[in-house]
Amino acid sequence: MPSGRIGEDVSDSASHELLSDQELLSQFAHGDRTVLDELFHRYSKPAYRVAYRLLGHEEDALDAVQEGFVKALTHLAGFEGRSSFKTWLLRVVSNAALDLGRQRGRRETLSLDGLDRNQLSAASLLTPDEADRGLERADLRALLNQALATLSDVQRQTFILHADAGLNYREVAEAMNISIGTVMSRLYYARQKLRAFLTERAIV
Amino acid sequence: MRYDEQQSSRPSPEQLAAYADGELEGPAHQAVETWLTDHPDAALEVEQHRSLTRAWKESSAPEPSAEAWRHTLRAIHQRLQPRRHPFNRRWLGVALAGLTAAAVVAALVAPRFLAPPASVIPTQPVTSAPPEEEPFPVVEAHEVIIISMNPNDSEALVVAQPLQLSEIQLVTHEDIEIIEKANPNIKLEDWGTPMIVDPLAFGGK
Repeated sequence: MPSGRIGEDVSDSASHELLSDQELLSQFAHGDRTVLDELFHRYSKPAYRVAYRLLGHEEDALDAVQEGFVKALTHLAGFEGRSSFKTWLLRVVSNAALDLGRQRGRRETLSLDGLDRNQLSAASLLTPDEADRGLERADLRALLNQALATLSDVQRQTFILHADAGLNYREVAEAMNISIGTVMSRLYYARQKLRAFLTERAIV
Repeated sequence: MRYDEQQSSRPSPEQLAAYADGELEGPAHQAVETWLTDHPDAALEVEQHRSLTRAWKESSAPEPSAEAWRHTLRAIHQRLQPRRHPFNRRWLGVALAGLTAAAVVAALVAPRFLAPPASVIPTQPVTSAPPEEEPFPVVEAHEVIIISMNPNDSEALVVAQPLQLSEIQLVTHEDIEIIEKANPNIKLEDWGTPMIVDPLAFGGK
């Protein structure tokens, strides 16, 4: 969570906290740029998690967050209130991340080449005591990100909006303009593929 | 969310996954729970879904530094800053848009008054090259959804209302019988692709 609110004094921050997203957006549309800090405070973290999972690189993820916020707030007319601002923003951010990934290529921050086979055991990843198995968090992330890369764009986007942004099925459906049944189906098959990828790396 | 089917038969894999995610409510949730009670071996499948979710959460990215967050927010503020110019661009923009629109209308309307009579239709193909192709609208604005755009193009994209043309029919040259010589610059024999025919332009109905 960003520490502190840049550019806001205490009174602005306190009053903006009490406003709904709709009220903040209305003030923003009328030229009040100070509400941007509150919107950023509310949604930068899930936006970053989504972007990072899609791009695998901190700097690129922050660029995607920046791009997503700018696009969303520049095109507020396109936000017709059919979903919450959060779900709409996260869709814009995830699309920005996918575009950025196509332009720049996905840059992983950790290579798996040097890892011992024992560390790549899929079974150890799927039990509650992963930490006790000695698999570092970064190693786990790199392996799961590799698994994520095997999904199609829409499966990946659906899964990340649910698993990383914390959207429930209905919110994911709104964000992606699909039915809840499609969300269920995509999530199920995304998980199947992830598990298959991880299972292939299990020590037999 | 409601999944109202009574689960006398096995829940679908998607429903089991939704149950594992805590997304089922009411009767649907109860039905899956009842079925799981009767089929305890299926609890493993539910646990596998949950363990993948746990592993996913534990692999979440480290937080950027406070300075990285501040930098990002500053950049957003800067990009959303309204542009200021020494003179009033708004009215200049309106004037330029008006002049451009007038020029476009004049360019489109003038040929109708300066064109040769509608009865003049070529009887023989001529050797000169076909007229240079001009872009023409084939859809209306409401039929277009811009999914994504390169930010560099955001200043250049122009979306306008289509021209009010008469009823358009799409035909190939095989569908046309040449009656009289019209525009000598038209060469028909190489036009295997469909072309737009505006009947009024050729005196048609």
